[in-house]
Amino acid sequence: MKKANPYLAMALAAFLAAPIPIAFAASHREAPLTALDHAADITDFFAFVSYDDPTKVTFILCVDPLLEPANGPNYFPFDPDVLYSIKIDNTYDALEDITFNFQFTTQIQAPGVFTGFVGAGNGIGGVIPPAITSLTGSGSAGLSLKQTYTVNVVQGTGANATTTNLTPSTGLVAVPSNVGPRTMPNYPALAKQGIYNLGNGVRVFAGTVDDPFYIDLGATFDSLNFRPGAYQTGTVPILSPEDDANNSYNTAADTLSGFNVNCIAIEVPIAMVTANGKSTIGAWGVTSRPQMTVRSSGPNTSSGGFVQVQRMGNPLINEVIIGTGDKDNWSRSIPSQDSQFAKYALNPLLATVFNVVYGVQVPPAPRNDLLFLMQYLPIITGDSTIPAGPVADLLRLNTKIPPTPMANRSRLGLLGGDTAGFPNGRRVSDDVTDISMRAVAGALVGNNVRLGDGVNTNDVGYQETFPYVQWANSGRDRRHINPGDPGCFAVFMAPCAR
Amino acid sequence: MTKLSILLLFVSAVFADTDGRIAEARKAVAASPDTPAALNELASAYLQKMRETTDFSYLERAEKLVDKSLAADSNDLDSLILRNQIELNRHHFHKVVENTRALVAAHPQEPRLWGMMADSLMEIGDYDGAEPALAKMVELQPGLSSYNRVSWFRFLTGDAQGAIEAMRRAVHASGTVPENLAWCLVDLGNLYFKTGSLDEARANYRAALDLFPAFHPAFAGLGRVAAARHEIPEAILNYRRAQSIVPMPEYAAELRELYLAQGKAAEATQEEALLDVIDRLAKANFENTDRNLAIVYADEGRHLDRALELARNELEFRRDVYTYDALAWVEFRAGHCAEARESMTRALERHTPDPLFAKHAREIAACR
Repeated sequence: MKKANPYLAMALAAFLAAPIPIAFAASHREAPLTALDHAADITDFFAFVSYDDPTKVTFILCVDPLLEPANGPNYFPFDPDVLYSIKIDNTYDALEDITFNFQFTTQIQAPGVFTGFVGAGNGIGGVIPPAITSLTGSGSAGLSLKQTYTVNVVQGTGANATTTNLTPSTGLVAVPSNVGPRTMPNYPALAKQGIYNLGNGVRVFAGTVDDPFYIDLGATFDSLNFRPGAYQTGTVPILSPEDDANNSYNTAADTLSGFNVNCIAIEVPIAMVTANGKSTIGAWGVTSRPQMTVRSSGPNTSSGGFVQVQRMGNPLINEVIIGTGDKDNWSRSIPSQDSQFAKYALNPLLATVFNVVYGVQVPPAPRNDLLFLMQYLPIITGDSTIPAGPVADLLRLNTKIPPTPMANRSRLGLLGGDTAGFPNGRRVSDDVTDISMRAVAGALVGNNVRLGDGVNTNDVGYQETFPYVQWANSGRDRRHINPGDPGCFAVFMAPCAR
Repeated sequence: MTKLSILLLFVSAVFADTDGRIAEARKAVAASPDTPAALNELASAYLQKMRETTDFSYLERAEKLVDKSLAADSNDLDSLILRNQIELNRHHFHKVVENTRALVAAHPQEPRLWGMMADSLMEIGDYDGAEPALAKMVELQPGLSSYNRVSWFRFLTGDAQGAIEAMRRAVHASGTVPENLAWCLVDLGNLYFKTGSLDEARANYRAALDLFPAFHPAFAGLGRVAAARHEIPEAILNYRRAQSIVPMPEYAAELRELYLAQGKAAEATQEEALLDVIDRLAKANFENTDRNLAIVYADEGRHLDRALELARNELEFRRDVYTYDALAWVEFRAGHCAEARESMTRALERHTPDPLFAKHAREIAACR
C-alpha cells in the first residue's frame, strides 16, 4: 500500500479550511498599473523678489518629498530622465514666454565603492578617500555619485522659440545630501560651492536641502485635527492672538522637521523676465519625462520630446482643491486650460468641511473671492491696465513690490499686511497652510478667522540670501520632531503640543 | 460631504506602506461605508496587497468593495477601472478589451484604461491592436507603468535591447511603492538573463530584494542565475526561499531538476509530489488551465494528457506567444510532431528573443 502523502494531507487541510481559487495558476503578467512618480513630484514652488537685491527675482522649484537624510547609500539624486522647468508668463495669456530648463547627469566615479559618498580625515589606508570638502577637483574624491546639470533658457514657445544654453564650460555640480560630519566636515562650505554665478546677473543652485515647507502634516491629514494648545478651544483650530502674531516659533511639531528635499533655485534680473514695461509675472514649475515610442527602431520612432508629468503654481491647489477624479488630468494639463477646473476653486470641498465639521461660517458658493489665485487681478498687479487673462493656476508676482525686511515680514503675507508675501508670489517662509485655510474660510470677504495648524515657521529657519533654503540635514545628526518632543515655543527645548 | 473626504485626498499619497494604507482606508470605509472614494481606496490597497502576497483572497475582498462602490455610482470611473483590474486578474481578457474600448470613448485621457486595453490585447495575441493603445498610454503618462509595458511589448516583438532600455527607464522612474519598483527590477533582471548578461541579472534581482525582501520572483531569479552557472547549492537555496513564500509549480520543477543533478532522488520525488498536489487542488477548484504546469509536466515527461488539457484550455483565454510556445512543447513531448510545429510557428511569429523558444523550436524542428 502506498504511504500517505504528507503534502496531500497538508494541502487538503488547507483546502478544507478555505477555497484557494487560482493562487497557483499561471498568472498573466500584471505590471503595476499606476505608480506615483516620486522624482517628478513637485513639493513646492516659490517666486519672490530677492531679499538682498530688489532688482532680481528668485524662483525655487522643489521635488521629491520626505527625503530621509540617513537613507544611504545613494541618498536621493535628481532623476536624469526628468526635465525640470520653471515657466514664466509676462503677457497675461497663461502661456510661457520664458522657460528655464534643468537636466541632470549622474556619474559614478568609483563604481567599486559601496556608497555614493565616502571620506574621512586625510583618507584611510588608500581605501577610504579624504573627507569631502569640494564639489570638484581636490577634496571631491569621495563623491562617488556625482551629479552635474545643465541650464538653458527658452524665449517664446513653439516654432518661434529660441534656446540659449546658460551652462558654463566648467560645468555645474548638484550639491549632494549631507551624509554627516566625518564624511563632510564643513557641509555649509561645501554646499555654498553649489551656488554658481552664470554672468548677466544670473545665479543658480541645485541640490538636496532642508525641506523649507512646514506643516503639522499628521494633524492636517487627520481631517484637520489640530492640537490643543495651538488654539483656544478644543473643537475649532483657532490660534490665540499671541500664537497667531508670532512668526518665529511653533506650538505644534513641524512634521517635515529633519527631512530633506531636492530644490533647484535660480535668481535672475527682473528685467529678464518682465515685458512691455509691466511689473507682474505669472510663474509655475513643471516636471516632464521623455516621450517614448512603443518601438525603439523602425518607421514610427521619431523621438517625441517631453511629456508633462506634474505642475505647480500656487501651493496646495492639486492637493486640496482639485477633486480626486481630476488630479491626474490636472497634473497633465496646461494652466491656460484651467477654467475646466474652476468648479473646484469656486466651491472648494475644504469650505464645506469647515462649515460642517468646525462650524466656521464660510461664504456660500460660488466663491469668486478665491479667483484672485487664478487670474491677474489688481489686488496683486496694482495695475488696472493688465488684463485678468484666463483662469489659470499661476503664482503671480508683482516685482515692483520691494522685499519686506525680516523684522517686518509676516508669515501670513498679504493677509498679515505684508504685500511682499503670498499670494503676491511666495517666499520660503510664507505660511501657506494657514493662509489657504483662512482664504477658503473667507478672509478676503471679511470672514477673518485665525485658523492655523500651530506650525508657524520652519524648524531650522531659512537663509537671508540665495538660495534662501537651509542646507540639508545631516544623515548622522538629523532629528524629526514629534508631538510632545522638545523643539517648539520661544524656548527651543520647550515641548511641542501633543 | 464628511470630513472623511478631505482625509481621502491624502491617503494614497502618503502611505507607500501597503499595510498602513489598508489600515487608513479601512477607517475611511468604516466612517463612510457607501462612498465610492473610500471603497475604491481600500479595494485598490487590497489589490496592491494581493500583488505583494499572491494571496487571491484579497482579490475577492476588493471585488466586494467595488461592487458596493458601483452600486452607489455605476459611472464612477475609478470603480470601473478597478472592476477591470479585477477582470484582468481573473484572465477575462476579451471582456476587458470590450470594456476598456467602451470606456475610452468617454475617457480618452485616462492612461490606466489604455494600459489595461494593451495588457489584455497582448494576452489574446493581438499585438497590432495593443501597439496604438500602448502608444496612447505612454503619451499620456510616461513613467514606471507605461515604460514597463513598452519594454515588454518590445521584447515580445523581437527587440531585446530596446526592451532593456525601456525597462531601465521604468526603474529610474521608480514610483513610491517598493513592490512596484521591485517588479521592474526583476523584469530588468529577466531581460538581462534572457540576453545572457548574468551579472547584471543578479545585480537587479538583489536590488529588488533590498527594496522588497520577500519578493519570490527575485529569489527565483537568483536561483536561475546560480543554476545557469552550475552553482547547484546556491540555486537550491534561492528556489527554496522563493517556494517558501509562494509554491509556484515552476519552482518545484526547478528544484526537482536541481536535486536530480545532485543525485538526491528522494528530494526530487517530493517536488514531483508537490506538483501533483498543486494540480489536484486546481482540479478540485475546476481549474484546468495552466500553461506553466503544462510545460513542467512536459519537461518531466509525466501526465502528458493532463499537460495537453492544461495547455489547450489556455487557448480559450489567451493566444499570446507564450501560450503557443507552451502548447508546442507539450504537443512535442506527447509525440504530436505536426501540431507541435504548427504551434511553434505561431509562437515564433513575433520573433520573441526568448531563449526558451529557441530551445523548444530546435527540438521540435527535429521531431519526426
